[in-house]
Parts: sequence; C-alpha cells; structure tokens
Amino acid sequence: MLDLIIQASQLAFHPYVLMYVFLGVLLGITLGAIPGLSGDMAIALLLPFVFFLEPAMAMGLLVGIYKGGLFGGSISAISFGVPGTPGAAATSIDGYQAKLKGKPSKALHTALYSSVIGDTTSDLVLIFIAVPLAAIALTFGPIEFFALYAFSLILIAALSQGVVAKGLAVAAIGILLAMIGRDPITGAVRMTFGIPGLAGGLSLIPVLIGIFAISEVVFQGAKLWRRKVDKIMDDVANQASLLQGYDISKDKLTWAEFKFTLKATYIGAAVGTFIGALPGAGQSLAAFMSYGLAQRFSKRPEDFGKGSLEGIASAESGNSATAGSTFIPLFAFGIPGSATAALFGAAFILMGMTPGPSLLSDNTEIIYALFFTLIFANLVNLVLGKLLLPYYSRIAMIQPGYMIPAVFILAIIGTYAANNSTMDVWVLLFAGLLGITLKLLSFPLAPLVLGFIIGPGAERALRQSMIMGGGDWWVLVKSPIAIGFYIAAFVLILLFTLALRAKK
Amino acid sequence: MNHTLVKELLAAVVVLSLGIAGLIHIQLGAWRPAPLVPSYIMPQTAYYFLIASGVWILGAIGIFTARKRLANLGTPNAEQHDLVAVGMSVSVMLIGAVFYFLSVLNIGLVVSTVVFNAILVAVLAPNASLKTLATVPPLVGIVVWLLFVKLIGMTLPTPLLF
Amino acid sequence: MQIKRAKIATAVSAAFLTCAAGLATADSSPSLGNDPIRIVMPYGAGGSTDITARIIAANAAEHCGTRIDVVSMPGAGGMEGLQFVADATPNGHTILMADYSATITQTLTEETDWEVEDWSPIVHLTDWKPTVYVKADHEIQSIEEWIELAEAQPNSLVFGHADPLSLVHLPLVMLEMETGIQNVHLPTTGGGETRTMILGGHIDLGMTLPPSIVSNVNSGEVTAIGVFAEERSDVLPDVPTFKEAGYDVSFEAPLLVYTYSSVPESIQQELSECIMKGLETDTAQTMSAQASAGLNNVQGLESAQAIYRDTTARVSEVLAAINEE
Repeated sequence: MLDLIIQASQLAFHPYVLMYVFLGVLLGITLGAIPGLSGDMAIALLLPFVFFLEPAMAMGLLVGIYKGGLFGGSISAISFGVPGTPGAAATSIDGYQAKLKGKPSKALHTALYSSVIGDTTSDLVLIFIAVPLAAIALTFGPIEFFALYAFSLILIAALSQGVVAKGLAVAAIGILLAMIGRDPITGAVRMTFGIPGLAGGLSLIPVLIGIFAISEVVFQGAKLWRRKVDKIMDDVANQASLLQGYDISKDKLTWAEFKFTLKATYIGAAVGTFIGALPGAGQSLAAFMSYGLAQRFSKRPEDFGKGSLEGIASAESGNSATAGSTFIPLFAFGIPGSATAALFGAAFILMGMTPGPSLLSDNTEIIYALFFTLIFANLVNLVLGKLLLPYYSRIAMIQPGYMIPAVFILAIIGTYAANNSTMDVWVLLFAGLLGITLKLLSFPLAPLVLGFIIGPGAERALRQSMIMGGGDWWVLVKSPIAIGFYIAAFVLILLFTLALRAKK
Repeated sequence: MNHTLVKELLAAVVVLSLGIAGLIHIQLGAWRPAPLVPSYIMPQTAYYFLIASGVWILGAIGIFTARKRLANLGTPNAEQHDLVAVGMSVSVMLIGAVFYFLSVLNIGLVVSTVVFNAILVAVLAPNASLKTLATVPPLVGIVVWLLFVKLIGMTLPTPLLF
Repeated sequence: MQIKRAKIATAVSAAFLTCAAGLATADSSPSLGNDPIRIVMPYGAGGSTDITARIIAANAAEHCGTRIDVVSMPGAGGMEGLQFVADATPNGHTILMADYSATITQTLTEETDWEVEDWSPIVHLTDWKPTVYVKADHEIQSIEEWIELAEAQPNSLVFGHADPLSLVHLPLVMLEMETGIQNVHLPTTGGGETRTMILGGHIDLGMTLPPSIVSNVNSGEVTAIGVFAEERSDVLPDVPTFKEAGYDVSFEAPLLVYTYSSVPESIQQELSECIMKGLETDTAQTMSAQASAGLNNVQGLESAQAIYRDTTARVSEVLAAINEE
C-alpha cells in the first residue's frame, strides 16, 4: 500500500504533470468565465491531444480545466449576472446582487473558497467511499428517481417564499418548455408548433443564459438608456468617483464573514456530493437544492436573493461538490453520470483504460495518481483564483455603458459556439424575452429553470415507472426509498410552515 | 387603479390563459398514442398547476381587496420598472440581436460584431464619445474573433466578408 | 546574398508549382482544396462516434492534405447537424459521420428537407452489432430461455433500449415479428441508463452495443445472451448470434461517412481514398484497438453504398410493419 502511494505520488507530482495542471486550471478559469463556454467544451476540444500525452499529464490537464471551469463559471455569474456554466446559474442570483452593491471581491472570494471546499469534500468522498456510495446510486430505479424529482419540486415551491402561487406557475412554465421536442417514450415530436428546429427540444444553455442573463442585461440597458436620455451624463469627475468609490481594501472578505458562510458551504458540499453521485441529476440541480436548503437553515434567510454571501457559498459549493462525486458511477460501474464524466470516460478509453469495475484494479497506480491530482488541482485552483481575482473584480467595475453591450454580444456568440447551433441563438433571445415579461410581472425566475431542468427527468421516470408497473399508479409508492423521499418532503413542508409561523 | 393591482391581475390573466390554452391544445392537438399513460401527462399536470396558481393569485387579490390591505399585495420590495426604457432597450437589444445574428451568419462575424457593438454603445452608453466609438467596438470585434474563431474554432458558414 | 537568391529561387519555383497544380486541377474534374475539412457528427461529444471521428481527424489529415476538425451538433435530435451538412457549399469540406438512425430512420419518419438518397456514403467504417444482455444472476441466461419465458408469460419481461426506433430497438421489433413473443418496451436515455437499470435489477433485458458492456461482461456482472449479426462480435467472441440460435434476425448497424449528394463524384472518390489511407496506418489501428472502435476493416465507396441501400430497404420494411400494427 505504501509502495503504491509513493509510486502514485511520483507520477502525480512529476514536474510536467504539475505544469499541465496549472495550464489546465488557467485555461479552465478563463474559458469558464466567458458566458456560454464551459470546461466541458474545452475538454471535448482537447480529447485528441490525449493520444499524444502520458496518461498522468493528460489527466492533469483535463482535471485542471474541469475544476478551473467550474469556478470560472461563477466569475461571469457574479461580475455580469451571466452564468458562465449551467451550474453557476444559482450563484448568479446572489452573486450579481452582491456585485451591484459594490462587493464583487467579497462575492468572488466567497465563491472561490466555497467552491474549493465543496470540491475537496467531494473528491475525498470519491476517494474513500466511492464504491459503497455508487451502490446506493445504483439502487435508484425510475420509481426512486421520480420520488427524488417530486421532492425537488416541493423544495422549489418552498424556495419561492411569500409568492408560492407565482413560484408554482413559473415552475410549471419551466416544465412545459422542457416538454417541447421529442416525446421520450413514443419518439413522436410534440409541442413544436411546426418548427422543425424545435424537434430536439430546447437546450439548457440558451434557456439558462436567456432567462438569467439576457433579461438582466436588457434591464441594465434600459437603465443606461434612461440616464442617457435624461442627460445624467457621467462626467469625468463622476466617472472617476465611480472607480475611486470602489475601494478594494474595503471589499475584503473578513474572517467573521467567511466563518458565517461556512454552514451554507457545508450544506452545499453535502448536497452537491450526494446529487453529483446520482447519474443524470447534474450540477444545476445540486446548486439550486443547496441554495434552497441553505436559505431554510440560514440565520438570515431574508438576505437571500439580495446579495447574501451565504447564498453564493451554498450555490457555489453545491455546484463544485458534484465535481468529484460525478466520477463515482464512472469509476465503480463505468456509467458516466454527467457530460463531464462521459468526456473523462472517453479520455480513459483513448488511453487504453476501460471505465468499469476493473478500472481500479487494472490501473491502480494511475488512478491513485489521479486522486492526488484531483486534490492538488483544488490547491492550484485556490492559488490561481486568488491571484487572478483582483483583476477580475476590477473588470467587474468597468463602466456599464461599454460592458453591457460587450457582455450581450459574448452571450449570443458564446451560446452559438457551445453547440454550433443557430436554433440555440433564437431560443436564447426568446428565453430572454420570456424572462423580461416574467420579471415585469414580478414572477421569480429560479423555479422556471429548475422546472426546466427536472421536467424531462421527472416525466421519463414517471412514465417508465408506469410502464414497468403495468399502468398501476400505486407502483409509485412501492419502494422504501421513494416512500422515504415523500415522507421527507412532507416533514420539510411541515417544518417550513412551522418555522414561518414562528417568525411572524 | 393601483400599479401593483394591475400587475397582479395581469399575471393572473396570463397564467390562467396559458393554462386554458394548453388544455385546449391537448384536446385538439395530434398526440401519438403512448403505452399506459398518455404522452400529454406532464404538460397536462403543468397546465393544471398554471390554472390553480392563477386562481390562487386572483383569490389573493380578492382577499387583500376585501380586507383593504392592497398595499401588502404582491411581492415584497418588487422593483418598479421604467416601461418606456425597457421597451426601448428590448427593441434595440433583442430585435437588434436578431439582425446581428443573421448578419453574423450571412455577412461575417467580425464586421457584424463591430457594427452591432458600435450601435449599442452609441444608443446606450451615457457618455459615449467619438473617441470611444472608434476604439471600443473594434476591440470587442478582435476579442470575439480571437476567442471564438482562433481559440475555440467555432463553426460558422463561410462568410461573405470577414 | 547567395542565401537570399536561393530563397527567391525556391519561392519562384514554388509559385510556379502551385500555378501548375492549379491549372492541372482546373482542367480535370473538381478536386479537394486546402481549406479545413469538417466532420459533423450529429451526437454529443464524448460518445463512441466522437472517438471514431477524432481518430479519423488525427490520421487522415496528412493524406487529405488539410486540417480536419470534428464538430459536434446534437441539436434537434441530430437533425441540425444533417441540415448544416446539407446546406454547406458542396465542395466536400463539410462531411457527415453517422449511423443509420440519423440518415435513414429519421428521414423516413420525420419531415426533412432531404430524402434518404440525398446522402452519399463514402466510407464504411465499421458495423455495430446490437447485443442483448441481462444481469448475471437473472433467471434468463440464453436466447432460448428468453423466448421460452416470453412465450409462457407474454408482456412480463421489461426490455430496456435507448430511443424508440433507434438501432438498439429495431432488432427487438424484428425478433418479435419473427417469433411472435411480446415484451414490455422501456425507452431509456441511452446505453448508460439501460446498463444502470440492468445492474440495479430494475429491468430484465437490455440492448446495447458491445464496446459499452465488454468490461461488465468480463467481470461477470452481466451476461450477453445474443448478438443480432451475421457473425459474432470480435469483442464478445463467446456470445452466440440469433442466427445460431435458429432465429433468422440480424441487423447490424453500419457506421458511415457521408457527403451530401450534390458534392461532385470526383471529390467523393478523393475523400473516400484519403480517409481510407489515413485509417490504414499503424497509428490509426493502434488508436482504434485501444478505443475498441473496430476500424480494422474499413471499406470504401462501393461497399458503403451497397450497405447503405441494403440498410435502407430493411429499415423501411420494419417501419412499414410497425405502421401496420
């Protein structure tokens, strides 16, 4: 065992490997910070190079890009309210508000620390309890998955505090948007209104960026235009004060603030690790669920949505905590649980390692080296992130008159580049318009995205369960795990109601 | 009529009509028969939820009006929007984006980006000057080109210009 | 001075050469230029087709004389990728790599701007052999046991497959037509989900392509019971075909590279040859073996077109039979 650890660490800490990790993290953060681009895309682009690299170096590069990309996504989420990756959408809710209140550095640092903590937790879980945890994930059939989705939907309803009716309505709209395209059971095209480009359904990236980013950018544009028309010109003195008024030394994350966000970070780490291990559940679900739970358990739930550092911490740690655990099904059973895991699986195959139960026993050294690299990349992410953050928070303070148009263009082209899809751009603009309309009528937007994310999974699970149960609705409560979820949902609603009563 | 009341009524009407229109679509549309549960089961549930929440919002308006506590209606600290400015910005940005992307596909990425960026800056930036108009848009064009064409290798139809 | 003159001389002769080359090609039929070639695959990144496409890109580039990029266009169920290739300038620089679900099944079942014949296959890369498998401790462990149980208790066995009418579903439909057995068809998101459900004991049988279950078969977690192919699969040599078991059902899925039919035939020929050359190199074969991509018997234009016609006929037959039901 000791021999193995020494050999693996020699592999993992080879200077070239370290260099590739650095390069990967740097690339990942930079790409992730661009709206619409994600680490996944960079990994896909680099797959061919995997052929030409030593496995340890290739792994270092890919792991670096992946982790850097996860954190990078939160940079544009906080700086411009544009989630760089789907997982960062929850971060943008509070992160962007915090930036608007002149606290970009605090927000970015909270994001960085919680991201690294969540990620490290998840990696440790992967390393130590990969096999037993994957066994739990594997016992989830359609019935259990439907219970999980129903449970998440209930949490969403509870999340939209005060306006539950509107939250429900918006979640329903999200589910409906997700139903556009091919019926998963019959394969028939439905709800496309005769538009052939919609046959494959709406993709996640344009809907997310449209709802969260385009609507926000257009509202910012409206404010700018009003100021221009009213001739509230930012004269030179005014401009200078805008930049000078932002004092980076006052925008430092204090130890007390950091400690206050820790609870939310831990909630996110736990939720993210669990959700990440479930095949198909995904980063954005993890982030939103952590956010909802952290709000419920927070001492200051009223700050959520208004720039709460806890909100950022929970979302970002939930998002990043999927990073390690998403490999659990891949390592233990060769089942990729997410797009990223699928890409890593492809890389393993290219390097002559077959993902699956024999992966660890056949390639013990390189996998242990990968474990070291996973942890080490978090350190690199922390250090590089910390070094780069001052520059990023300054970028966030650039004059909005120039920033808003540029961000708008980046969001459009970035969305196109993600899938090389023209349709995605039209969906993006439509989603933006929908987001603007809903905002004008003061609907909350987060439940829409959640409904959109879990809608297809919930439908598939429901209909698969019904097919397997021969059309009997009772099949939905025939699993102890499912019953557990329903009871947990019931208990949570009760707790929330009681807690709300007590507060009033 | 109070501003919030109008907004809430409008919200209820939008939600209700979406739900009802959807149910009609389920009745009239062609849905391929599916085994055991119909393929519109999820949309149908969503439409019921829409109608229920529409009724809920209407009910809330009724109760608040009856109790003369209209001030408490709606979302706490909802932002008041400047409708004229939003309309203006929607037409310049969103409709502009449609033309922008069409010209990216047909004329060329860099040219379209520089022009669209210049238009946006000219219309929106409160302190746009000729000097910034000459520097910022080309810079954005170069950045977009470097990132998406050089680094990412984005796939676009062969452009007419550049 | 000497060096400079030498340089000029080289430059001049190079210019002449390019001119000559240009003239030569202008005289004869149109040929491939130096712009990069894009292989469009109508699937998400990371799958087995992705790996194959990247093996082509890495090896065929030098033989085709230009860079090859792989573009993933999963939009609209893959239709967006096909549309992009169909709309591209017909100069052979935008080509498609796909199995028959995209070019044949979807073209026949959905409204599209093209017909099946509008796709000209140029390289026949490999044949995928749909394989039926069960969990190792399931009571069914062979084709015979499956058919027996399904005949005794119709609609009691749940069979998981990816999208309806996909290449891992049509063979099941054909077998049911041949034998008269009935199973519960359960569509899943793909091979990964099918395997999770099999391993978790949620469903009885599943269909997938051999490379994705090889490791599970070797570790004894699942048993592959039968292959819908003429011959056994190279990676699963112990698994019998359905023909061996006495059921005349075989439906291999060819993985093909296509150009749109408007591309001049001389270019199709040139592309076909340079891709073949690239894939015959040792590096390509090593990569293929490592990734179980099965590129050891790549066939050219004629074979590709023959198998495409053949597959079209069979798919139309099955679809017609389904519609009659």
